[in-house]
Amino acid sequence: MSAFIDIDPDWIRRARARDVAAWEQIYTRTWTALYTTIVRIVADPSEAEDLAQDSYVLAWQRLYQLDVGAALWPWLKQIGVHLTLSRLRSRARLELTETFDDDALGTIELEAVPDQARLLTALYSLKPVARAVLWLYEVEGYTHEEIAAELERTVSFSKSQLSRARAKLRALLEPNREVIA
Amino acid sequence: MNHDPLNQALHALEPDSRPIPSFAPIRARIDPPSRARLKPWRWAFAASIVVAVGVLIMALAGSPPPRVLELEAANRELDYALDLLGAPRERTPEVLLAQIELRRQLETLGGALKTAPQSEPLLAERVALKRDLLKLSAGDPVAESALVDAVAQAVLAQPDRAAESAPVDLF
Repeated sequence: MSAFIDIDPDWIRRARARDVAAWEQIYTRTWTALYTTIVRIVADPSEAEDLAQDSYVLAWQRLYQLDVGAALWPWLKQIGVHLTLSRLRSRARLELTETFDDDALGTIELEAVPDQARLLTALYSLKPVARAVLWLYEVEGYTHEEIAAELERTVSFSKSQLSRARAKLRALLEPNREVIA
Repeated sequence: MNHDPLNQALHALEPDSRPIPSFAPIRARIDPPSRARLKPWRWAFAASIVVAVGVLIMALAGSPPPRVLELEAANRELDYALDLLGAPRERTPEVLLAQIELRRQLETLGGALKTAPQSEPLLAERVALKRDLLKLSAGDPVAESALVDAVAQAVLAQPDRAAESAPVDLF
């Protein structure tokens, strides 16, 4: 699971009391992590920035729902992920039944880019839903049940998407296996 | 600990290095400038003015005084009684003339009431006129006689009205 971010309880208390300055402090503390999570799923910096902004606005509006003393970061990230997957769902229902086009990734020249960028390029070349399932399961620690619920699909759909996404990434990175070993 | 190389590689990805965007767009959405500028004491002041104006409007447009309500109720009852007695009956020219005069006075009074709908004297006069009209319509001979005389005297007391009150012209 991605790193936990500790947030000063006083900032949370003040934000709950509608102190915008405190919310800005929380924003500054958490933005990079939230944005990173979102951009890994949507693979579009501009869209990820919009979604992150929406997440902070929505979280501010629903801050009263956060239990007193509860950790804010997991809750905030959950909102970000939920908004992101909602965007994926609404953009095109067909995305949820996407099939993998094995030839599509063959054109990417991974040899030419550094290790991390190579992995990111491979990740971003996956189709949106497959990438979302892979990221949420492998990095964010979501279960297949949770992913299926967010995507409004079955558990087997989530498992199937994960299996295919992993296979595709491996195939793509095969010539550079040492990068991820 | 997951020892899968792909999993480890994904976890090892560095966070995005993009600079943190300005908070201003979010601030604008969660705390609009106009509201942000208005301090709490200004809110309280504005609220107190709204309440005061509301109370004033309610006082001005509130229920009419009890006497006015009574006169309005009496007027409605008299209208109802006059409607019930509306069937034509045999009337002398004097009675008919008195009825016409009373209705004329009521019409004049109606015009005055449009500009002062809650004027107690005007409302009381309307009720009195309708009572007289009711007596004439009911055919009470004693009241009829007295009323005919009173109305005739009143008409004759007005020089400009006396000229137009010739009963013979009406029949």
